[in-house]
Amino acid sequence: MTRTIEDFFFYLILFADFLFICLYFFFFKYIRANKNLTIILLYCVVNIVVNSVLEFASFNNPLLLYSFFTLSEFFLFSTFIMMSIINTSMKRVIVVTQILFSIFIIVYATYAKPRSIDSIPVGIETILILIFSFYYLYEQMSKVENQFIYNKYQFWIITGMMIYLAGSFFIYIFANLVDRKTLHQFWFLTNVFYTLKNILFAIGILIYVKQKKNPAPENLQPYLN
Amino acid sequence: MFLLQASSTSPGVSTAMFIGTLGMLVLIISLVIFIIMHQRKVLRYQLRLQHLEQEQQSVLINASVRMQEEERQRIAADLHDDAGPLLATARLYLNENLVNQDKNTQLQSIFQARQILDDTIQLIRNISHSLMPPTLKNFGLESAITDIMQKISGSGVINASSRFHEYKERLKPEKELLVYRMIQELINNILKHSNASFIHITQNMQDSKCMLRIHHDGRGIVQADFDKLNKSNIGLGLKNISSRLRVAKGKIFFEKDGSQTYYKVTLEIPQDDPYNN
Repeated sequence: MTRTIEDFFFYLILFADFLFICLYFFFFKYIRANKNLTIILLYCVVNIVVNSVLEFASFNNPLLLYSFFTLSEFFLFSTFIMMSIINTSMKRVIVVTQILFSIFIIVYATYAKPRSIDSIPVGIETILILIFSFYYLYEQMSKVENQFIYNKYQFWIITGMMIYLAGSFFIYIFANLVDRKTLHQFWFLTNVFYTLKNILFAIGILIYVKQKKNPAPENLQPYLN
Repeated sequence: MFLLQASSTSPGVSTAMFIGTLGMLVLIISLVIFIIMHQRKVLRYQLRLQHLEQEQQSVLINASVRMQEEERQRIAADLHDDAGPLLATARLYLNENLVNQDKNTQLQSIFQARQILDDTIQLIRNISHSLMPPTLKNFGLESAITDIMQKISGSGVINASSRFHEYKERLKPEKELLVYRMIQELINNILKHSNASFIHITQNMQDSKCMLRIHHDGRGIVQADFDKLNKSNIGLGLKNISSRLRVAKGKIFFEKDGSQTYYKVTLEIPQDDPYNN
């Protein structure tokens, strides 16, 4: 493999997940009570395991692993969003979607025969996660608060998810329709978004730790709440 | 993730992939920027609102403190100027030389002193009544307001009347006092500034709210004037009304009748919550 910027990103993503994990354990005493961040930790662990298996172990049926990864990613991202929103009805919708999506993934993994990756489940997953993320942002926009949205760690993590999923959406959708060379060219972009996502996750964890170290007053605007 | 297989690429697919990816990114980044900007705008607006609210609060607190001070000064003046001289005079009549006087002079002095002490008692009672009207305490808002209206009507200058249609259940005593003071202030203003020939107060209930309406045919103010006076440094009485309304969680509306012949002031006081003591 020639040494190019594409290769740099390829190797970078193998270690990108470790950034969040390292920060998590470095600031563990501040984070241990936070279940939301544990979900992201779990997601990073799943990423490392799946990437390592695909890269270093010979695997006869990668579709099963892709499906497992897509399902885990959807499940963990949607659970994170579910725990970040307030509306109970929307939480229920997310739970129902998780069940339906799990059934769909099982059926797809059993019967579908894609050429390279599981484009359809990834596409559906992206659309659903983007819808849930938009809902989170809408809820934050409608809420009367004294805290800027970018001072919340959830905002950075959800923005990371959105940029990664939205950026890779078309590449995954067309993955089965393009030749290997073209896909390699575009795959570089998914690596960029993947790295960006992990950087945003790291910013999220740092913001959370900063707030834990210097807690802000609960409410500065008594008249408005 | 890294196992990729495909044999040929249809023309245009690469372009679609590139444009699609770019479009999605632009969409997400624009959305995030829009939400941040929108929230900043809303927060700035809220802060401005909070600032105005605090200013208003400070004006009301100042008005309330000034009112208390004025009330104390009035009581001090009443006691010093009226009760003080009366008691001093009574003391003069009952001085130590009284025992050396003849019996008639003694009786006359004692009688005079008693008269003065009666006057003093009456004076102190008046001060006490102005602080907390006994009619209001014992018989409620309806009787207290009727009492005021009768006194005003008795002067023969203004025709004053009141009619309570639905006041079977009294408001809490502290709320009644607040309403009484507000009505008193509004009537005082009408008497001082409006040159009215009649004042009429009516009461009824509307959606669990006690509605008190004051009509008069003199010069008055409308809601815009009230809001303006409330924000300015003048109009202490109106600020006191606003402070009391906040405590009573009520509302006030100043209007001019459609026929332009009289003014109407509506006080909207929520009925007490029976479960909230």
